[in-house]
Amino acid sequence: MDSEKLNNNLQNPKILKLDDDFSLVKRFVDGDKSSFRILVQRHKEKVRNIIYLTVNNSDLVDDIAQEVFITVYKNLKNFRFESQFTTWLYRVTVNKCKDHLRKINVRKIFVPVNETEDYSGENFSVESDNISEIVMNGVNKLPVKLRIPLILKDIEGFSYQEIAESVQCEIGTVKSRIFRAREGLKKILGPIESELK
Amino acid sequence: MGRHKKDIELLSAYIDGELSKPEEESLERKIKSSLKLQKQLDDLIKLKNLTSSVKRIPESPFFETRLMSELESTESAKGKLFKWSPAISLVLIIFSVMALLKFNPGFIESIWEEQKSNLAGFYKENLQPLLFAADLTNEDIFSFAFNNDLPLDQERKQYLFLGYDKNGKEYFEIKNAGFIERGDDYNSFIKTLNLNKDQKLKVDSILGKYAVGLRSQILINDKHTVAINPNLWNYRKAIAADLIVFAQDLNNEESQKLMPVWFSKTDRGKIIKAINSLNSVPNQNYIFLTPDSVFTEIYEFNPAELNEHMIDVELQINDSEKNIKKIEYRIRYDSTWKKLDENKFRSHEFNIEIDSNVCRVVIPEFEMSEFDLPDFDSIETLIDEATENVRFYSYRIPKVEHFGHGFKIEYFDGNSVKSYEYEYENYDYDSLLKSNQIFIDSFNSNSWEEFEDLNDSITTKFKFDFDESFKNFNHEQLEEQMEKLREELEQFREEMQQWQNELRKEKREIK
Repeated sequence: MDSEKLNNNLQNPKILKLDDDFSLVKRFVDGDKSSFRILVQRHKEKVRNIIYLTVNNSDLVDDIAQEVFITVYKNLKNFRFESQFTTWLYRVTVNKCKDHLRKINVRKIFVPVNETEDYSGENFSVESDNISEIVMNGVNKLPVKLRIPLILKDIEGFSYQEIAESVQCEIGTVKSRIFRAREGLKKILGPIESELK
Repeated sequence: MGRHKKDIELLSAYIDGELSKPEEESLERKIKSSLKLQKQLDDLIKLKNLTSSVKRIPESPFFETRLMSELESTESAKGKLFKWSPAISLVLIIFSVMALLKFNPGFIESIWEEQKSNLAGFYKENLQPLLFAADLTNEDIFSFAFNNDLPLDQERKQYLFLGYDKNGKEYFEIKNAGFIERGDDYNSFIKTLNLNKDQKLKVDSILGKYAVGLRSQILINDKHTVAINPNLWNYRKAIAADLIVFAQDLNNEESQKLMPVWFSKTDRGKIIKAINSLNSVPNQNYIFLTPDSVFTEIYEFNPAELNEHMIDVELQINDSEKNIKKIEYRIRYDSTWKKLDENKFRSHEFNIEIDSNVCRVVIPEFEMSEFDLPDFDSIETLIDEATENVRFYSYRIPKVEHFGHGFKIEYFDGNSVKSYEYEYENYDYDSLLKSNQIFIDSFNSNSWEEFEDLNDSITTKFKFDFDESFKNFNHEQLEEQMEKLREELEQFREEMQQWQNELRKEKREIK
């Protein structure tokens, strides 16, 4: 399969120019607080979506997104302009999501899913006719460490490099985790494969 | 990881466009030759399309507004923190001071001492000799030697009184003249010793010698400060001692009656030595009585400077003199002091007792040795005993004289002798007896402070004067004498009654 053809079928990521975000950050550091509103306007939906896909709870999205932007607001003066603003923003977002999921897991006295867990999909049931919802439920059956790179790649269109920076790991690790996530998702969705066609 | 699995992982990266060109070309060759890999690739692309088609969360129109509102409240919280910053700062300051005191405990004390020094400097400015303005006469100085009081103004409205309280502690008082019943002790002294003109001049010379020294003992200024040199106590003794030595040197019949039998040449030598040392060693340690506090400080008063600017000084003193009366109103008397345990008084450097007429400052730690007059302490008892003997000339046992149509009774009130002359017809015997009963009963009281219900000296004037004037006398002896007086008065009351009856009888017969 031709890679160009494949990329055309996928949603192209909307990456802003570096100097756009940098100039806004610079204005904020110089005292123009209104520039932060522009940054929020630019990136709020991507942040909200990552949160939504990661925690799989629409009721919590805005609360967590708010925490993300407040954290960014408080720490923006310390931004060192060594990486893209979005890389830093998404890292904060991913970490907030992880924090939230960790809290939920603690509350549920959650037993971590073993990486070698069998994703047989025996317990996976289709309660919805919406394919998107079925797939999302399947994605959420994946462990967090596999789920997030898969979401960032397939849904948000991040490069491996961007994912590595966001989840703070090596590119090889990202590559491996995405592969394993897809292997797991195939097993989860296997029983209903015919319905997805 | 097996070779096939490795290829499937490469397929995953392949569909993501994350393989290098060589990896990509190598994998594509394998895909073309492997149906299994082609199947795997198709499955992965289908899966990727599924995940990529997942719906995104709808936009939230209120998210931005809510976020900005939250950020503003966060900033506001910072503002609130800023609002509390004075309290936080205060707490920090307290902790800082505590830490400072822990590591430098003398810090506050040094500041305190510095402030005290500044305050003392303020009250020490422009001090002038009060007694210079008071224009002391020889009578005043003589009275000071034997009665412990000095006039503080030319009008003789206020006096300084030196004394010892019931615990033997030195005190000085500034009190209104109404309390001082002055007797003519100086002339009594001259008369008692039967001095001729030259001898009287000698006495005047002795008294005049101390007049100059006394000037620098009490200083005042326009800050309502009164600075008293404790050397006044020594001056009083020295003057008295000098006069005793003079009387001894007379060696006449009268002076032999006056002098105590024990008074030896050795004692005389000691006294003269003490007198000389007093005049040669000026004391610069003053007790400052100010509107704020009472304290001791070193102050160097230069009499020579005074003489140079005598006129100006006199004017200043006159102004200051007007203000001195304000002192008694500016010092606030703490009424709880009286109720405190005696031991607690020791925590105060000075104990101040004040009412509408008297301001008394008791000096708990009065040490004569500080004044470099080593011989004075040793002769103190001698002088006190001699002084007590000298006093006989002015305190006489009251007596009653009869004359034609009445009688005259003399009694001592304070340190003076008073007399009543009464015509028989007008005399109120009951009033006289009642008056003297109070007078006699007052002997039973040791000090005016014990009259709890009569705290102010105005109401205790009579008792107060009596106590102060006779504190060095033998009370038993006095009570005995007063009992005699009571008996005499009773006897005279009967006589008066009898004479009055006789007079009435005579009048009836005439009619």
